[in-house]
Amino acid sequence: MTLDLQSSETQSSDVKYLPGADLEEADLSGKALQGVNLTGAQLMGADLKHTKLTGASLEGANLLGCQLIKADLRATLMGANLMQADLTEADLRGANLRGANLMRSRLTRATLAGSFLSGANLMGCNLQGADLRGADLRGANLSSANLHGANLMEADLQGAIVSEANLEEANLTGANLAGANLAGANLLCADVENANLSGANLAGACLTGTGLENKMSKGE
Amino acid sequence: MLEGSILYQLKAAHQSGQGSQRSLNFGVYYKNTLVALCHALEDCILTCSSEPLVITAFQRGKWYLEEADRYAELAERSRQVVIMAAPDSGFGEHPTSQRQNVELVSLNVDDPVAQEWHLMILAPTYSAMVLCQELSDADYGKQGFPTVDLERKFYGFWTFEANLVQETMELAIAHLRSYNPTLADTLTDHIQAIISTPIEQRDPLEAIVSRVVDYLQESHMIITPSHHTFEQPQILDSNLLSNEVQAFLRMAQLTDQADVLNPNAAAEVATLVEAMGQFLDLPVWQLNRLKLASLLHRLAPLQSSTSMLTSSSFGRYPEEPSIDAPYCSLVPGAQVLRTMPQLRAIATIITHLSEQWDGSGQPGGLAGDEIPLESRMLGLVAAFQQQVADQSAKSEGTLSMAECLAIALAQCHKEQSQRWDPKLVETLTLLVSGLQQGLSLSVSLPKISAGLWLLDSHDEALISRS
Repeated sequence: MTLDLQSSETQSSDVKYLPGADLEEADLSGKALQGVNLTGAQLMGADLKHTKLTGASLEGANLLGCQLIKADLRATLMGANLMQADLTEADLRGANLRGANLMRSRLTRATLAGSFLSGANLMGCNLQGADLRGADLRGANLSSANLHGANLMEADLQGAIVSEANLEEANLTGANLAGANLAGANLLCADVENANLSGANLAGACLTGTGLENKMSKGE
Repeated sequence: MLEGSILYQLKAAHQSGQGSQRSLNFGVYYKNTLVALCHALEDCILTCSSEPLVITAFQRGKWYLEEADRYAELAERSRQVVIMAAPDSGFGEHPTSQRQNVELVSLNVDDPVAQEWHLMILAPTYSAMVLCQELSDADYGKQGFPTVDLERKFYGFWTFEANLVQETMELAIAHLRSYNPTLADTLTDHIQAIISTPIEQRDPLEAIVSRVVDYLQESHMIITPSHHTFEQPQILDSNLLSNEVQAFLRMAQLTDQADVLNPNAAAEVATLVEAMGQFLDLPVWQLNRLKLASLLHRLAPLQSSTSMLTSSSFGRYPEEPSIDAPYCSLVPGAQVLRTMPQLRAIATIITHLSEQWDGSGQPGGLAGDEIPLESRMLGLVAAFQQQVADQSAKSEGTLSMAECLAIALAQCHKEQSQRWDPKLVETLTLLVSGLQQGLSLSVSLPKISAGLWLLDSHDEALISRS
C-alpha cells in the first residue's frame, strides 16, 4: 500500500511506523499525527503548522527550517535537528529535547514548561516570552539567545552557557543558575528572587533593577 | 540602581526578609511609554473628586518646562505640587513656578534623585505613582545611548496602591528635607490631612484605567513603521501594549488587596484553573487565556452584574466576540477590558461568569454548552476558591486545608447541573483529591510587567464553545 501522508484523509491511525521516511518539504499542516514514529525522518522545510504530534517519536529527525507554528510537539525530539525552525507558540510541554539542535530557531511565546533541554544547542534562539517553567536546561547553550520576558521559574540552568543572552524582564524566581556562564548577559529588571547564583559567572552582565547590582559591587 | 535614590531606598525597604513588606518587581519603560502614562495619571487629577498632593521629579528643569503649562492646570486642582529637578535656565521664572501652591526643589547635579523620573499623586480618593530611574550609559550596553529621545530607557514601576504612594512620598520628603526643611514639614502635614480625611468612595478606577489605556494607545500612532526616526518600533510598541495590560492587572491587584479575607484569590484561581485545563488537555493558547481571565476576573464582581433584560432576549452566544453585544455593558468591569481590542475574548469570558448551567443565570441566560467553556471553568473554580477561603477564615484555623477543600467541594457538588457543568465538577473533584493526596501546585503571581505574553495572537480570537 502506498501511503499519501499529505492526503486530506490521512490520519494518525494510518501511519504508526515511518522511521527514516523522506518527507522533505511535505505539507502536513493541521494533521493529527499523534504517536507516529518518525525516528530519523527527513522533514527538512516541511510545513507542520498546527500539526498534532503528541507522543510522536522524532528522535534524530531532521526538521531544519520547518514551520512548526502552534504545533503540538509534546513528543520525543532527542537529538533532532531543529535549526532555524519556526516554533512560534508551539506546545512543547514536557518534550524531550535533550541534545537537540535548536540554533537560531524561533520559539517566541512557545510553551516549554517541564521540557528536557539538557545539552541542547539554543544559540541565538528567539525565546521571547517563552514559558520555560521548571525546564531542565542543564549544560544547554543559550549564548546570545533572546529570552526577553521569558518565564524561567524553577528552571534548572546548572552549568548552562547563557553568555551575551538577553534576559530583560525575565522571571528567574527560584531558578538554579549554579555555575552558569552569564558573562555579558542583560538581566535588566529580571526577577532573581531565590535564584541560585553560586559560582555563576556574571562578568560584564547588566544586573540593573534586579536588586543584585549593589550587592555584587560590594562583593557580598 | 543609584544608591541614595528614592527607587533604591524603596527597593531596599521591600527586599525579601524585611518584615512583612512585599518585594517589588521592576519593569523596563521607554520614555515614550512614560510620557503617555504620566500624562494619563496627571490628567486624572483634573477629574479627581478630592485635592491631591503631587510630588514629581523631572531630572532636569528643561523637562519640567515642557510640561509647565499643563502643570498650571494641575496645580489649580491640587493641594500642593512639588517639582524636583536640577535647575535649567527659566526653571524658576515660569508663571507656574510662581504659583502659591507650587514649590520647586533645585536638586544638586550629583544628587541621585536628579537621574530619576517620579510622579506621586496622593488624594483621599485617588492615588497613583510612577517611579523610575534612567539607565546608565553602561546599562545600554553595546547599542549605546539611543539617538531618539523617546527611545531612552528607564526602569522601575508604577502603581495605584495608596500605601506604597504614601511610603514613597515619605521617602521623598525625607530626601528634600536637606534642601528645604520647612517644605518637608508642610508636606508631612498634607499627608496626615489626606490620610485622615474620611471618604465614602475612591474615584472609580475603571475611568482611570480607561484613560491610561487610551493615552497609551494613542502613542502607538506615532511609532508606526513609516516613521523612520524610531530604530526599534516593535520594541516601543510592545512596551506600550504591555503597560496597557499592566493597567488592568494593577487594577485587579487592588481588588485583591482590598479583600482582607481572600487576598490571593486571583493567583490561586489562576493556578487551579490552569491545573484543571491541563486535566482537560486544553491547548496552550486556551490555558493562557484562562490564566489571564483568572487574574482579571475580580474586576467584574458577580453580584453587581444586574440585568435589565429578560433572559429570553438573547439565548445565543455570538460567533464573533469582537461584535459588542448589548448585554456586555451590563458588566462594567468586563466592559472596561474592551477598551483594549486584544482583551475582548477575556471580556467575553468574564461577562459570562455568572451564567448557570440550567440557563437561569445572567447576563445572557445561556444554558449548558452555550456558555463558553472558559466561563464555565472559571466560574466554578472562582466560586470554589472563595468557598475554601471562607471556610478557612470562618474556622479560624480549626479546620485543616483538606477539610476546607472537602467542604467547598461538597458545596459545588450540591449545585452541579443547576449552577455548574457536571463534567467540570467531576474534573474539579479529581483535582481536589489530587491536592488532598499531596499534589502541590505552586501559586505565584506572574510578573506584572511581563503580562504581555499572556495575550493571544490574533488568529485565535474565538472562544471555544465545546
